[in-house]
Amino acid sequence: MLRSRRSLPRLSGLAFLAGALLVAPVSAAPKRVMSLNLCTDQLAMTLAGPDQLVSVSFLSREPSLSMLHEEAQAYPVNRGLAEEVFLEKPDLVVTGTYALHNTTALLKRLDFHVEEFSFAQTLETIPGEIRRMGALLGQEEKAERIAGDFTGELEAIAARQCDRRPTMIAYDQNGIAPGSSTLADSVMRAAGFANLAADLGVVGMAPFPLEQVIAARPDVISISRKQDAPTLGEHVPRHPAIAALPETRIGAFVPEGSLSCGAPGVMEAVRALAALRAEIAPCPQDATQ
Amino acid sequence: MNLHIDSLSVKLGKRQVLDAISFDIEPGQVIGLLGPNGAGKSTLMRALNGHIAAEGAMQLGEHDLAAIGPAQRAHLIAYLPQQRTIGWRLSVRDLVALGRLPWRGFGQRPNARDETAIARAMAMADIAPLARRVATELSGGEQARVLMARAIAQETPLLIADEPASGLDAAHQIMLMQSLKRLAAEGRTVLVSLHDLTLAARWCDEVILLNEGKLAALGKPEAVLSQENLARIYGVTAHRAHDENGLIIAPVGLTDTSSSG
Amino acid sequence: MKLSASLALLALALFVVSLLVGPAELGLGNSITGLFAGGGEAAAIIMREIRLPRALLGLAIGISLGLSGAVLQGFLRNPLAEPGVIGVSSMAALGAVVVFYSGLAGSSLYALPAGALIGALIAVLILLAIAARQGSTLTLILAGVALSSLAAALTSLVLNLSPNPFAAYEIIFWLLGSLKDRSMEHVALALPLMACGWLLIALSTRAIDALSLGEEAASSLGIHMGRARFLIVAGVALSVGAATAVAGTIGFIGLVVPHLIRPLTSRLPSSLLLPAGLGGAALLLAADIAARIVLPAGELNVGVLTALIGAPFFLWLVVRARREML
Repeated sequence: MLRSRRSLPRLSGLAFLAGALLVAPVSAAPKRVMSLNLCTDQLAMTLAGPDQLVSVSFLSREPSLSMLHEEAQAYPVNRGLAEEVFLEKPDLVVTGTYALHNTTALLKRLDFHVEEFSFAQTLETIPGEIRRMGALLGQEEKAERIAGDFTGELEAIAARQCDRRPTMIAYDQNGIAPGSSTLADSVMRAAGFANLAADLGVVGMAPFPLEQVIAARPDVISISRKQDAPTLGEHVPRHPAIAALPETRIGAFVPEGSLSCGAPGVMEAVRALAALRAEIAPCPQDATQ
Repeated sequence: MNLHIDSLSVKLGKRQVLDAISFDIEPGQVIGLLGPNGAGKSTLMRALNGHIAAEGAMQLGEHDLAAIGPAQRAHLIAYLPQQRTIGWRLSVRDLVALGRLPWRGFGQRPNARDETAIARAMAMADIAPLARRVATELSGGEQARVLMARAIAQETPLLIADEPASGLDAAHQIMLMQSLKRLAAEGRTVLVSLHDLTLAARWCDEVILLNEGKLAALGKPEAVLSQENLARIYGVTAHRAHDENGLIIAPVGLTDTSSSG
Repeated sequence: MKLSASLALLALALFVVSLLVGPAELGLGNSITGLFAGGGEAAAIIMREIRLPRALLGLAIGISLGLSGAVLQGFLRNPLAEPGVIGVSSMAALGAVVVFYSGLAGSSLYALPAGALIGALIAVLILLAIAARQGSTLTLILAGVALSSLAAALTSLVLNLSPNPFAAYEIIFWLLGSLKDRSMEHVALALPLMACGWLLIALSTRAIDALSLGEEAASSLGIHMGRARFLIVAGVALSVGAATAVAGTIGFIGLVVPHLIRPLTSRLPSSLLLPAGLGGAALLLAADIAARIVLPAGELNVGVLTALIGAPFFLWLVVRARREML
């Protein structure tokens, strides 16, 4: 039913598109962009002009994953299916490199313009991703401004750090922790923390034994918020053994969804953790603020 | 104890399987329960055991059999089902000892009285030499006597055995009937259903003949197993002969069945 | 009794080893002081909040599974009966999953045993109804296979339908259980229920012995069949339900252990109960220790190990002729 209700604007859109293609130069900005991935959604929603974005992925409306979940309400959502793309006939598809392998390959074979973004990234790669998306959408100026602000704030926060680096672990569902080469790791470092999992040799997202968390007694254990729909995995970071650590700060310190994607919204996580670091282990620079 | 049955009726669905059966049995006898297939022999035995609901009176001594629970009934009646089930590779002795379960409290080990009863039962069923053997590895005839010993070890005033002789060779049939005789000689009542008419005629003190759920005849084998009854109820003609130990009945042909209902 | 004593010693030894194995290499001295000393020392927290509940659950769940396997085999006169094989564990898992992930009880862990007990109870009742009508080994096993497959499929369905995307990752826990990261809350939740189950099963010893001779003979030996059926249904549902609620489906313990131990007993079903419980505890503790040693960081699900041991064993039992394995 949803599809048939949308069929009318789509048809008129097609007609418009056909007309536009006849007259517009090849290098012109795409008019109809479809994003299939939570993280390309974040970049595209930040940068796209009015009516440029046709739909975003359904996960973008999920508050636990998406910083821009409120904005996402304004867009139709897709489930990343090739069929949806085929019916919508966008002139640019943006998606991630891992998920939806088959979809991406199929769309390329059908001669859609597909741009893939890798999200094995850190804070340092984000300005580049913002500029790349900006260029794809023909929004170079806006992208340059946002990327410049991002780099500037990151440098300002870095200038406030000193040698006091409290230890932290981001302990998540089922005892998974981000090690080195993860976005969360770069955020923790930028905010002035030492990432316990990375220091103990964990690379990427990997299970981290509960016993080792206790044995290492980190200064901070960052856990994620409880969701409405329960899981057993969320009980692991809330294990009584963790609660029994006498001097450790435990809590959901990072805004919801801020660490799921390398997008401008990740700065909120950096700010929150930097404030926490200043509170529990003040540097000389903090006093002068 | 006297077994007193009065107007015993059993309905299974709409079918009247037993219809107002009445009889009295004095203790110390082997009573044969006879009748063609479907006459109601097994139903009568299962009703006495409380496995199926029945109307009418069933009295053993002063006990109303319809009113007592399984625990008390197990002190009065031992029952040997037709189907010989031995679930695990139990030793003969352990299997016979199961007959003492009704007399042992929860978690109690067999006491001296239990041991005596087990030894007597094994002797009576002629299986003492088999005590350490695995019951499932014995021959059919040996298994039948082992299961009989289990029922004997229960030491109840009434023993009910449903076709214990079926599937046994001639020698084992005779051994089985001998052990029932020994039991009756102790003053207990044995109610046993049989298909072999000669076996019934020679070993039972009295026989009950059932036909289509009704009591057809009751009394000494000589009188009950008459040519006329055999023809009317079993539908066979039989040679009857006598030797020094009693009656011999050999069915030899079918009667004309076209006239019988 | 000698057999039970040796098995108890074995289980106790494995219980101690279980306390000493873990990714935080504490050393023997630290472990022991940690266990008995109070305070906020890391060793004390690790021993009392992580390893002790894990070892306790290994012990209690092993007892539950061994005992349930032995009593079901005795009751059904069927050497292949086992809570996992006949689908009781999978149904318990389904029950726990339905109640917990629906969020009816918030994210409270109390939802788990409540759902699991209902699931296990339904499974035992269905199987007894089938087994009572037609007692063949094959019927029971086929019914169990159908019930397990259905329960596993529905478990996956419920987890996939959860609005929380992480729920779907927990399918593996429910299908191949684990004792990882359990806490004293889980012990408090499951142990009393399991203990009630053990008690009910222990009360059924006379019944399962008498049932060696079939139902009618058992009843003539003074066994109240309705009461016996209740004791076993409730006992198995309580112990397997509570075990599955906190550890997921751990299969084959109740199959392997009674089989290995039966030849060492008189083969009377009652003489198998205590040794099978203790043997089940030893096997599960050993498997759980192995799960931690084989893959120290990621850790294998213990259900994977018990299935690796149990499934070939089951196949061997099926291939071997019917009569002689009784």
